[in-house]
Amino acid sequence: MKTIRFKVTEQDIESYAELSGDVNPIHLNPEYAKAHGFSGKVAHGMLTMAKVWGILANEFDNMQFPAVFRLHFQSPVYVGETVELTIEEEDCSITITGKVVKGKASL
Amino acid sequence: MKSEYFSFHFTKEEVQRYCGLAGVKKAIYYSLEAALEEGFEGIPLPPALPMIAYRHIEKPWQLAEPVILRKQECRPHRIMYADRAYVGAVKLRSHSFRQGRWFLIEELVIFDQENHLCFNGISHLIAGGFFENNTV
Repeated sequence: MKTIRFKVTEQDIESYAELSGDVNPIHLNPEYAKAHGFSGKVAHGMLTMAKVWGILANEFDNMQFPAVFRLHFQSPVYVGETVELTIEEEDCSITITGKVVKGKASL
Repeated sequence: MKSEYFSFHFTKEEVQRYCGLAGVKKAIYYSLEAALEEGFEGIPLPPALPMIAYRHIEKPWQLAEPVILRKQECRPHRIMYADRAYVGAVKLRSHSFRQGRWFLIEELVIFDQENHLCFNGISHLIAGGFFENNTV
């Protein structure tokens, strides 16, 4: 078992919005996000997925091109938060659990 | 319900920006020479990057904000490459209204020029509203 952390920055969210064309205001407008029950700007789920893949690709050579890559988003990841991933390898699969360790909300 | 098929390609710059966001520094994503040396046919796409093809696809339905992604599955069937032509469409696999919100499952499918399935991405979404385009 291994733990690795990553952070989601304001710049990450803006860059991902530009790259993907996903300009959903819950990612970009804090007032809008708060009006819909969030405590601030929410990271794109696909941005979180990119960061998780980045960690896997750097850590495991055989995870560059997984057969299936699946994430369940249990809670929002907010801008400025640090997520700690716990990575467990079993046979041909890797299970990752993430939780927020620094920031203003929990994952 | 399904969109039409749209043509698109992913650029080297998009791969590099995506890998920069992901924190991946492997040379195969940044240098054609490095990729060829590793046995690839070009600069390969990371496994979830094809989801950005949504920006090229016009769906015959719309979702009202806020839209929340609650589950995502990406299945790369073949290695895809930057600067190659692909076609893709989005299918609406299910939609239902519960407790004031819409729960939807969409599937993005991408094929290469030889009509091989290269990727499918299944997104479980919650949305504030759902409209077929002819009813908007």
